[in-house]
Amino acid sequence: MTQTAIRPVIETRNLSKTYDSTGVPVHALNGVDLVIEEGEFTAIVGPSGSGKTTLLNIIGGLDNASSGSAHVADQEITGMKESQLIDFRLHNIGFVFQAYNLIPVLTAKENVEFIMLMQKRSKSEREERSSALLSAVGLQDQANKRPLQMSGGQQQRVAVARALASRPRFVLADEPTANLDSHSTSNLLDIMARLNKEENMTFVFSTHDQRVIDRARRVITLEDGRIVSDERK
Amino acid sequence: MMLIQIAWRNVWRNKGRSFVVMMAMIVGIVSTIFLMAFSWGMYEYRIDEAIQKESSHLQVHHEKFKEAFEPKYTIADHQQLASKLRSDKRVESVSERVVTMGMAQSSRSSLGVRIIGVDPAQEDATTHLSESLTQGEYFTGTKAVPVVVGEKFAEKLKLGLKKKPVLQFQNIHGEIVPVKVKIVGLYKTNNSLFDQMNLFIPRDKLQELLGLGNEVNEMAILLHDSKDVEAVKADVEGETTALVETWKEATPELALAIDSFDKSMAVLVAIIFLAVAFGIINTMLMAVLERVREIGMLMAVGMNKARVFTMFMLETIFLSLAGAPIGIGLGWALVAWTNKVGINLSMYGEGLSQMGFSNMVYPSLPTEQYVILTIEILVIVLISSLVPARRSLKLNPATAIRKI
Repeated sequence: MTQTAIRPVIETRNLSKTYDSTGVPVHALNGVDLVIEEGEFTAIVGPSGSGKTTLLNIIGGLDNASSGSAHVADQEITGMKESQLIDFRLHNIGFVFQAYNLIPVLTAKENVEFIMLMQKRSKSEREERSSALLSAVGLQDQANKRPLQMSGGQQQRVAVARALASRPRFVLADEPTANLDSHSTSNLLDIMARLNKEENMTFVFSTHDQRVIDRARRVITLEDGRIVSDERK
Repeated sequence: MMLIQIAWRNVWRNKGRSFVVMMAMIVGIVSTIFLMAFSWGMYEYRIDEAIQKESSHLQVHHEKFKEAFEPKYTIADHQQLASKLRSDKRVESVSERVVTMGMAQSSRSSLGVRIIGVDPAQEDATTHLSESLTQGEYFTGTKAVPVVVGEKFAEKLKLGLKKKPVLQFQNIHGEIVPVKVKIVGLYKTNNSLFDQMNLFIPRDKLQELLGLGNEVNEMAILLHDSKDVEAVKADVEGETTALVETWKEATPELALAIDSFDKSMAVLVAIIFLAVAFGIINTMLMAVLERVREIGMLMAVGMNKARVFTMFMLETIFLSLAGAPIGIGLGWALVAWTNKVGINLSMYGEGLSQMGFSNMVYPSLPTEQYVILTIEILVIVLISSLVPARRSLKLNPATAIRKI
C-alpha cells in the first residue's frame, strides 16, 4: 500500500510585517511559521489587531511581507512584482470576502463567469462550470438574478461559486459569515465543508465566528502577530 | 466584451447622475454648435457683404499706393490687364478706379473722405452700388459733377439730395483742387463707417481734376466663386508688377475683426468644453470613490490594471457619448431653424452697423465643422476619462476591499 504525499499549499517561514506609516513602527506579524496542506479546512482566529488580516493578505498575494518567506501554491511570492501577484492571484487563489463584493451590475452567473473570462477560458467551459458551481451552492434557479435581488446568504454563496470558478489551489475567506444570519451561516458552512470533502478544496478562514471555528478541522490562534496555538481536531 | 458590458451597465447604475451628465453634455454641445453657427452666419454675411459691396475679391494697386494713398501711383497697362481679366471665365467683373483722399465740406461741417472715381457701369457690375441707393439716381440728371454719397455721410454733414458740398484734394502736382459736386444719390450699406467715408464720382472727372489722364490707381476684381481667389491672384501677379491683394489683405481690419471674433468664440467654446469635461471628471471620480471596495475586489481576484483602467475609460466614454449624438442632433436642428427664421438683433443695430454687420443673423455651420466638433468632443471625452481611470489604479486592493 502506497501513501500519497500531502503537499503544503501554504508555507511561511519567519514571516514578519511591520507598518510604519505614522512613524511609529507597528509589528503586525512577528516571525510566523505556518504550513497549511492541501485539503485542510482551517480557521485563523484571534482578537482584533492580532494579525489575521495581515497574514491573509500576505498569503493571498495582496500585501508584501517585511521579512521572511511565503511559499504559496508552489511559488515563492515574497518579492513578486505587482503584475506577477495579480496573475498569481487570478490562477491560484479564490477569495470570499466579508461583504460578498459581487459585481452589482452582473447576474449571479455572470459574476461566476467573470473570473474565467479573465483567465481566457472558452465560452462553453465558462457556461458549463458556472452552471455546475451555481448548482453546487444551490443557486441554479437564481443564475439570472443580480446581487441586489438576492439575500446576503445567497450572495455569499455566489461569492463561493465565484471563488471556485478559477479552479484555485485554495480559497481564502475573510470573515465570510460576519454579515449572515445563523441559517445562512449554517447553509454556507455546509456547502464549503462539502466542497472541501468532495473536491479536496483547501479553505482558510479568518474569523471571529464560533460557528465557523466549531466546523473547522484546524484552528490557528494568533495574538500580537504570533501563532499562540495550533489545534487540529 | 464583458468589460464593455460592465462599463455600459455601470453607466446606468445611478440613473439620476448619469442623466445630469448627459444633460450637461447635451446643453454644452448645443450651446457650442449654436455659438459657432451664430458667429459663422454673422461673418459669412459680413464677408459676403464686404466682398460684394466694398472690397471685391481682389484689388490691384501700385505697390507704393497704399503707403500714403497718393493718386500718382497708378497701375501700369491697366487696360490690358483689365481686358485679360474680363476674358477670364472665373472673373465676374472688373472696376477700374481712381482713388484719392480728401476733405468734404458743407456750410456746417467738414469730413475726411475717400473719393472714388468710377465708371458707373463697371462699378455697378462689381459692387452693385445702384442696388444700395436709397434716394436719388445713379450718376444721372445733372450738369454739375455728380456724386453718390452714403446716408451716414449726408447725416454727418447735414446734407441731402441736390445739395452741393465742396471736395478738396491734392492733384498729382501737389496742388489743392477744390470742386463743387452735386449729390445725386444716397446709398446705404450695412457698414455705416464705409457709408460715411466713401464718395463716388465719375472717374473721368476725377482723372481730369487729379491730372491723371487715363490712368487708374485701383482695380477691384469680383469673381464668380470665392474659392478661386488664390488661383486668380497668382495669375494676376504673373501679369503685372503691381500689388495684388485678396479681400483679407486689402481689408486687414475685417480680417482682424474676424480673427478676434474667432478667437473669442474659440475661448468661449473652450470654456464650455472645459466645464463639460470637469463635470464628467467630477462625476466619474465620485463613481470611483463610491466603488472603492468593488475595485479592490476586482484587483484582488486578479483583474489587472490595464483592465481596470479600460473599464473606467469605457464607462466615462459611454456616459459622455450617450449625450453627444442627442446634443449634435439638437444643435443641428436649432441651427437649421434659426437659419430659416433669422435672429433679429436690431436692438444692437447701431453698434453692429458700425462694424458692418447686418441686424439679421442667419446662423449656419458647414458639415465639416460638425465633423471637427465631433472629433473635438471625442478627444475631450478621452482626456476626461483618463483622470478617473488613473485614480482607480491608485487603489490598494488589500485596503480597498475593506473600505466601508
